[in-house]
Amino acid sequence: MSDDLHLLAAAYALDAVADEDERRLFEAHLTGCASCAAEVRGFRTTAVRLGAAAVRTPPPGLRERVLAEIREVPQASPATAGADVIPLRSRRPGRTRFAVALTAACLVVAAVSVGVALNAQRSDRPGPADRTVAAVLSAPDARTVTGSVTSGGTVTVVFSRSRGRAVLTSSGLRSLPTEKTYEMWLIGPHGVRAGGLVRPGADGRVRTLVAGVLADANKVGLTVEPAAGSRQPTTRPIALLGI
Amino acid sequence: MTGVGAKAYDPGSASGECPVPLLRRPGAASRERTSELDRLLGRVAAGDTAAFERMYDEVAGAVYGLILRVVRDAAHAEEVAQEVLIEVWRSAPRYDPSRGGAMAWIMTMAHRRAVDRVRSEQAASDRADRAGRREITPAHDEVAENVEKRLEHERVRRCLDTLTPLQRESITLAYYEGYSYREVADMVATPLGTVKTRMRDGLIRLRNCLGVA
Ligand SMILES: [Zn+2]
Repeated sequence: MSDDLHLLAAAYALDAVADEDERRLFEAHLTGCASCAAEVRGFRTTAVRLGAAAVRTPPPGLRERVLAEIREVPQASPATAGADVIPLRSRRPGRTRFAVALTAACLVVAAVSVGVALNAQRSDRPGPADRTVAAVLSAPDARTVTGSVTSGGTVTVVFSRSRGRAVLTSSGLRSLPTEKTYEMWLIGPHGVRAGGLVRPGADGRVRTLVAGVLADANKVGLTVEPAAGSRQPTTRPIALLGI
Repeated sequence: MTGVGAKAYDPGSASGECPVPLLRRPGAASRERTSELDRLLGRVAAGDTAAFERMYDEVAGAVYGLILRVVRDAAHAEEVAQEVLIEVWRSAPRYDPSRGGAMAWIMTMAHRRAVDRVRSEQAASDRADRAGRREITPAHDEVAENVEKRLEHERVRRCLDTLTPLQRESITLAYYEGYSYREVADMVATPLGTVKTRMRDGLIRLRNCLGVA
């Protein structure tokens, strides 16, 4: 049912991870997993050899058009960070210092910039919840499971038994009326535990990383609840994933 | 759709056998070319248009060939190749040499753009059309005029032949056809985890066969 997150390096290097959320999760994982990062590098180099073997003579007009066009196109200024790193939406000194201090800094940068709503807090400063998410995504035993939501959209859960947490993200969820919210649940033999609120963004797209306490849970569920959230689910799950 | 990629793996075999004995260590030639390319890209980053011209001559065939392989339409391929080559010029100052070399940087960009293109085509429900085109596209004409490229081409083909048919199919459907691993799993009616494993095992084998460090 669930898959080893580390297995995604090959598909990622082949540009075969089409789901944006899944790709971001894996990129976040890469910042904390040296073996996947090394594997991706080697696989990319291999893929480039496959690509170069498809060499063909370009159409004759292309050279001239490209050479003419570059004379009109200004070059980018050198980036201070890696060009692939998504910039912070706002650069507050406190946050920047925090991010630099963190081993998985890139994760936090990526997470914050995609509009993450962390369940533990809604302040501007990343806190323990960010660290929790980073720790789960880069855990050696991180595994991933994806499922569809009956009312539309998908949820992806990355969980790590060693870190004792499950991180949930979603995409394509319907936006709810203001008096409602999505809520994550961790379901185990000894009951149901609230994992956190999954809040839709202003544009109706939901990009949320919620880190719930795993305990003995063997399922992750999603329900629609009153805006403040519930202690126990009050509606039927619209998504249920075995972990 | 099962088995649709069975003969899709050939990166573009030339019509005949490679007439030149394979003398060099795999990858030696391409490594030399790569470092030369890195120097050129450094000059391009400083706004040197003459260096860009030389770089164009080095990489345009690979860029165009890969894109054509993925998008399967000469006019689209030319458009995407033009975008990519101009993007190389534009973002050359941001190129970080520590991240795998100029060729990898350029080809990764080319592949992503090509894949983005077919995925947006797909959204326009052009999938059937693409599948059809796969069958009718003539199998690779004038590959590599020069010996070095031809050798490399032959080497990659031989290494692909060392994969199991299932590994080869999943890698080529993803890389050369632009399908996501989820789509590949659907097409070959195989669990996601199995497809991921096939891709990984296949790439490890390829990586070793090609002598990638
Ligand atoms: Zn990993």
